[in-house]
Amino acid sequence: MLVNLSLHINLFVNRPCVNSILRFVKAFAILILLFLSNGFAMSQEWNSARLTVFYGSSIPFNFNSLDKIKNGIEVNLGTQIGISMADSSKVGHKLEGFVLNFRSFNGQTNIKGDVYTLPLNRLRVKAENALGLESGHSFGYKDLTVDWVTLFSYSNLTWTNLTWVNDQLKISYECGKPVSKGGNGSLIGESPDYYNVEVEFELVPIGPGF
Amino acid sequence: MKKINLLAIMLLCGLTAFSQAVKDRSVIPVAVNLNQVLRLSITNGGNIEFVFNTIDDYKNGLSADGATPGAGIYKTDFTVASSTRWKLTYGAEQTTFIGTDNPTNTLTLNNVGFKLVNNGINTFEAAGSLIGATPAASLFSTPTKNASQVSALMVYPEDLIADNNTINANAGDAADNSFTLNWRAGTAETSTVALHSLNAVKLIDQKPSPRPDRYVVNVLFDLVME
Repeated sequence: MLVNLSLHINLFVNRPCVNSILRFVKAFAILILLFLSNGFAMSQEWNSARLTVFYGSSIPFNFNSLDKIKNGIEVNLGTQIGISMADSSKVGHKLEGFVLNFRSFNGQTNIKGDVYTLPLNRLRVKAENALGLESGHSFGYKDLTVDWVTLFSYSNLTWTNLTWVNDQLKISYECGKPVSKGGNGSLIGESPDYYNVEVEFELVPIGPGF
Repeated sequence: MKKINLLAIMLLCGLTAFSQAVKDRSVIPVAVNLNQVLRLSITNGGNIEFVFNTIDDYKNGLSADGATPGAGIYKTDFTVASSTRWKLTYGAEQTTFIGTDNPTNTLTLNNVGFKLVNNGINTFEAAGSLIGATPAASLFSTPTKNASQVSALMVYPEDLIADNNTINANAGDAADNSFTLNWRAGTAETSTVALHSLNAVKLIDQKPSPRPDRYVVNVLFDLVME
C-alpha cells in the first residue's frame, strides 16, 4: 500500500519580520561557534606538571644557644620533593625542561614574629638533585624575597617524561648565617620571638612554545 | 564586516585564555624560634676587701692600678653573654658603707671607686662622644665616660654599660663582652663626669676621721635585655 502524504504550508510574512529572524539566526550561530572554540581550547594542555612533597612540609629552626644565634643554623635536606612532568606533544610546543622558583608566599615582606620581624633574606634556600636530575643546575643558596628566584634548572633536549618516583630534588635551608660565612647576617641582637614565613615553590616548564 | 571582525577577536580571546603551559606550586611553612640567652658571669674578684694597715695606705689609698705588689687582688673580672642588646646596671645596696663592729659607723661610698677596662672584642664608643657616634663601636658607658675615667661607687641602680645603639649590637658571647673593674679606695681621683669623682679628701685628712672598723656594702649587678 502506498500512502502519499503531502503538506503545503504557505507563509506570508512581511520584510521586517524576515530581518529579525536573520539576526536571531546569526546571533545563535556566533554563540555556537564561541562555545565550540572554547571547548576546543580548554583541551589544549601542552604539558602536565606536578610537585610532590615527600617530607619536610614544615621546617622549624630552634635557636637555643648563643653559638646557634651567632653562627646560624643550616637544615640540610629539609624537604624532598618529587617532580612529575610530561609533554602533551602539542604542535608548536616542545617540552625541554623546567625551572624551580621560590618566593615568600602571598607577598609576605618579612619573617613575622608575634611582636617583632626579621628581614626575609635571613632565610636562604638551596635546591639540589636528589635523584634522576644529575644533569640539572643548582644555583646554590639564594635569599628569600617577595619575587620569584630560580633555585634549580633542568633541561633535556631529548625529552623523556619525569616522574615523582624517579626524579627528585632536595631542598636545604639556612637561617641566620653571618656575613663572614656567606649569609646575610647572624641573628645576634634580634629579639626573642616565634617567627614564621611560608615559602612558595613553583615548577615551571621550559622549551620552545612555552 | 564589523560583526565578522568582532567574532574573530572573541575567538582569539578564547584561545589565549585557555591555552597555556601547566605549572605547579607548593607552599612550605618555615618557623624561626629565637630563645633569649642572657648571662652575667663574675669569673674573678667576687669579694673585694681593702685593708688599710699603714699610714701610706691612708695617705695614698689602695688601687688595683697601683704599683703595690698584690694590687691585682682588687680586680673583678666579669663577662656578659647575650643574644640581644643588653644593659648592665650596678650599684651599692646601701647609701653608705656600714661598719660591722658598730653599725653606726659609716663611710661614704665615694671613698671607693673603680676603673672599667674592656678585654673583649666589642669596643666602646670614643671617650666624650655621643651615643651612636661610631658605627663600629657597640658599647657605651656614661659613668666611666666609655671606660676612660674612674668612677666613684654609686647607689643602685646606675647604668654602667649599655648598647651604643649602632648597627653593631653589643650582643655576643663571653669573648665579645669581657670586662675588668679595677677597684680603688681612698685614692681621691677625679672624673670629669659630674658627681662621679672619688672623695677628694684622702682618708687620712677626712674630718672627722673615719673610725676604725670593717666597713662593708654589697654591690649589685643586674643584666637586662635592652
